[in-house]
Amino acid sequence: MPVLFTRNPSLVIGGLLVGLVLLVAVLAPWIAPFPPDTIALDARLLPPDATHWAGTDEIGRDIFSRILWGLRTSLLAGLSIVIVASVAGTLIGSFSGFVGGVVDAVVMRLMEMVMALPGLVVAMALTAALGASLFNAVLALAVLAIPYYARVARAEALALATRPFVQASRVMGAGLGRQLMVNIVPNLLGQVLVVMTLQIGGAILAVAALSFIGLGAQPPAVELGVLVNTGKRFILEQWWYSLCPGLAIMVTVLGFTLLGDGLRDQLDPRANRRSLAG
Amino acid sequence: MSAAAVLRRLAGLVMVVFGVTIITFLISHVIPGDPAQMLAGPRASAEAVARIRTELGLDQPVLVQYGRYLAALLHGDFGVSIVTGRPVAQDLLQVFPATLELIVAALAMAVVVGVLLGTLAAVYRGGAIDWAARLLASVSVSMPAFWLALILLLLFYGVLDWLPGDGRLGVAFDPPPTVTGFFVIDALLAGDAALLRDVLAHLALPATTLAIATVGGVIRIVRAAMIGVLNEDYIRTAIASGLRWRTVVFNHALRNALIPLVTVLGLEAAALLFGSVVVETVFVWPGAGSYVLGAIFALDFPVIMGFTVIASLVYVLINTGVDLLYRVLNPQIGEVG
Repeated sequence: MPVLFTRNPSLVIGGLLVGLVLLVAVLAPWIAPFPPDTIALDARLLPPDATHWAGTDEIGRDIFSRILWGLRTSLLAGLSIVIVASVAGTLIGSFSGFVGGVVDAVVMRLMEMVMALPGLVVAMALTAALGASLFNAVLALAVLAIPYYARVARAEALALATRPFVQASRVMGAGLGRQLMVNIVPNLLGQVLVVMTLQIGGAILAVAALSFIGLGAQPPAVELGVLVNTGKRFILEQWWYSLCPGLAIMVTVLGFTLLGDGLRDQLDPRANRRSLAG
Repeated sequence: MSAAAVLRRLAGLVMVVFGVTIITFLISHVIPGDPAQMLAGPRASAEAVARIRTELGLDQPVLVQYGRYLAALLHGDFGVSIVTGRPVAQDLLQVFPATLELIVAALAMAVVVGVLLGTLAAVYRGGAIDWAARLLASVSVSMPAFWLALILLLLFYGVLDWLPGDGRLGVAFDPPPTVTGFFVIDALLAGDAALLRDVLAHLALPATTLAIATVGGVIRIVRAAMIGVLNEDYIRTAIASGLRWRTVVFNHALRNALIPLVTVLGLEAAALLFGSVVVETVFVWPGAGSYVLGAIFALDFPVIMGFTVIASLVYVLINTGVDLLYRVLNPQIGEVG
């Protein structure tokens, strides 16, 4: 561990942060000091103290407990986006690369076209059209993220298709489905996983931002972007209301960003071994 | 750069714009149920709905509808806002300069600070300044821009009271005569120092928010590119031949390290277009972001789709420009893509 820390601090710090955040999110129902929706009208907008670590909101709910529960929603939304996008993208990309020809050309042009769009702006329009809800925001963001996985999966599938073990299985009569599912997809999961870690931070930020402008999670639901948004009205007086959930988003995304960078460096050591000349 | 490469790029551009219009068409004509019913209102009679449907051509085949939609777009007709009743193109033209001013100011700040920090981080790699720059970069890409906007508002408006917290202009001022639509430039042209100060003060917080959100990407790419360039033989030669360190870094190395930055800035434009929506709502900035967000809650689809088409067009144009510029800056890749 100490050796890994000096060689790849991003990986270690990121991994620890992500581990902590995941642990807190999973354990929220047991470690949150209060239920997230217990109203206490005699304890409205209290500043942080020993009982309410992040103060209370406009109807007396404990903000710290709501942050823990909100973290669950935000993490789950971010995870859903990268999982849906990676499954769809991996299947599309590996199929396209493996089949090649016209199918490949058409699919990849389509993917390039989606990547050439300003993703968040289109996600905003899509969510608005589908109706403002967390589910629709996640769906829109997932669809727009598919090309990033398809591109990686296709490149790997192209390389794998020339390898002897794949050619051997083809010669032995394995069908397209079997070759894809047994030979290709399992061997490109590592690469896809790196893209997932690199993207989940952005996905969490995007969901929070859509929720902040009112397009994602809707108020009775507890989500970090919604918490920052409801605290917005009180920013000049009860500033901790928006500050604390925002910090939670930042720590979470920072953890995933560092972990993603660290993983990439670890898997591609060339990127990090160059030293300064001169 | 060959003419064929440019043509191929432009053909790609047309394809993408085509794709955007298909998406916005699907969003506005297919997904939200029945636009005729929506326009007519919930209590309209069946005949009224049918009449509107015929008037709008909604009873035609989808392909015909798309053809009409595209033809209208090509004539600059983005439809009529359901809320204001004014042509969407006209409204958007009025609010876009404010947004572009914000984005350009943010980009300028992010580039100046990011290039400087990224270069210093690469030169003093592993040192204190490198750690500080990398920490700033990581925090910058991890921080929600909408939250940063609130924190800056709290600090510089609420606590310190140094800067105004909303709008483009103080109540005591009239907007400068419109030349470019950028208040900073227009105020300069008008030669009004007091007005310019007020404009800059209003621009400071929203532009800084977006700049901080952007600077991380700039630092990262400049640092990585600079580390690569400093490893090149010609840099070693330049140093060995006795040139000053500073000359080598800023005249020889930086020039080449900046090439990848161009591409990243093109990509950052997408984040900035969305970021402006979020930041404009916090600072009540009267730009396209505030305009489209109002439209979203009024379900004013012509406005939402008009904004999406224009934003996508701006983004695609920037990236095509970046790509062509990239080929000019680095002739080595000219013929590959």
